[in-house]
Amino acid sequence: MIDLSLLRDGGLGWLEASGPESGMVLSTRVRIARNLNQIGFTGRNSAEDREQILRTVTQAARDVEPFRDAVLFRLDRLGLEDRMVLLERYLISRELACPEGPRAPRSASALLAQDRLGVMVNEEDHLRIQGVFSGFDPHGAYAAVERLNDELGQRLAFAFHPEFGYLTACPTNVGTGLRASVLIHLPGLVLTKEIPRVLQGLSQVGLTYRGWYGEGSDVIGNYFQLSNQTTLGRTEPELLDHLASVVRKVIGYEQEARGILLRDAPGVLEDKVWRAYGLLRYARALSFEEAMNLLSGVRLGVGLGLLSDVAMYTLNRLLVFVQPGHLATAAGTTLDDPQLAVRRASLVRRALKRDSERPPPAGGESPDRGSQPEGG
Amino acid sequence: MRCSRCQQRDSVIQVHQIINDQSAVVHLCQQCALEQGIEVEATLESNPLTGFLALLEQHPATTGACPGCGATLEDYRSTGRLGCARCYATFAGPLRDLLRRIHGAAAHTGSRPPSAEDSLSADARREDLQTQLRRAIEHEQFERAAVLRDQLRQFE
Repeated sequence: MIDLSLLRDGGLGWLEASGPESGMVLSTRVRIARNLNQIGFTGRNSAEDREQILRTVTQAARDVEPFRDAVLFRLDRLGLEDRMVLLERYLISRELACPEGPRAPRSASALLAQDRLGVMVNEEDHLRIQGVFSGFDPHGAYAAVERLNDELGQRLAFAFHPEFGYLTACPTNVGTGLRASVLIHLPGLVLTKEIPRVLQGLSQVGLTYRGWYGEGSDVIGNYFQLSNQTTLGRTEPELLDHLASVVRKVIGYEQEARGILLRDAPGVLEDKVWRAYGLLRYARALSFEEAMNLLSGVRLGVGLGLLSDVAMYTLNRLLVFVQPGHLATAAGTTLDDPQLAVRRASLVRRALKRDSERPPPAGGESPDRGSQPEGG
Repeated sequence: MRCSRCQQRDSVIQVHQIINDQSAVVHLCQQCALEQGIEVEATLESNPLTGFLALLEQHPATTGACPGCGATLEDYRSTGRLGCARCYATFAGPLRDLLRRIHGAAAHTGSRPPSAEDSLSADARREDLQTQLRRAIEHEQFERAAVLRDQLRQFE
């Protein structure tokens, strides 16, 4: 079993509900794709090539200030549950986690991590330098990741072409190699059925959306990951400015949609929120999808001030701890779906009960920490 | 109106060229326009790769293997991934078209490595420029050819 206590906050700092717009935007993630100059791309690497890449990267990282106490997780030596925990904390991608199917992680695939920063090694590209931060802060997130990238770039020769920029295995990432994404909760736009228009609009301005687990995954619990679609032909600040301005618009649309719901259907909305809360408080079995959808309803209620018994921080943590890898790890054993559903419901009940028994915050403005689901 | 280049397909775009102070109007079909590096709004497809695969057929000059890793465009077609950094120079022609479709641009304007030295070796870079120059001349892109020729001179 991996020891995530080696990472500050167990790699969950992005859940603290602290950044700007943190009621609506859970997290901002930035990743930069880079490849070493002298070795072919991942798809053509031998096992020895990959070991060499991992050695080269870890050696360079040793001298890098933001990575002085970095922890190395070799995914090829971890079991499925440990990999799932890392995936569910957004510390690694699906490609590295290999959550299902017969394929094992490729040899020497690894995560090097410290605090909110990490480098995935031997992913689709040799390095995916990344950071996950709480709330809506593309520029702040980029600044932290850029610093790590620059320091690594001083020690490693990255593949670069004067015309095409930083070279990546897939041409969709070439140029800056930069992908910035925000995980945003848009129940208002879903309930008012405006979401298709918003998503379509995104694609027209060079942005794209993905589901809960990233590329190719489903949208769950009204959470959307909005990110830049293009990486070439614009500078990094331009890409970030563009993403930030479009996301601000989406936040505005969502606020508008919530306003319309409150104005035109206050009774229905209130009932929906409290039903969700009631089910979560008392249900004895919850599927992942059901839990996520109900948590979405409660989150909407908290955002609109209809419900004050739950802290955003509790809701954020539950989003991670109700996932299969975390439940199995907490149980210390492999669980089938019905067992997972029972454990999930029990975890949610306890967390919401604790929050409801908590005395109301004194200052009003003090950070609302709520309760912590156990197991983390 | 027929495309003035291939004389087969209908033209979709009118291009005004000025070469040696002589202006000429050329009508091009979508494919010929793309091969000349001219963007035609209507050609943007929902899946850029589909268009790219069609384009590969039209770039017989780049059917060889990458000298860096041995990958071919056929490999790219089946995996969606390039083999190594050199692939970008080897397949620069069709890649430019693809990148324009994916990103709406084909040239990097963002940050650069701290060292002025580019990661491609001088030989690979010169080879790439020569290929690009040959192609520019074949496609009568004379302004681009002049720029490439100047860049090549730096290697002499």
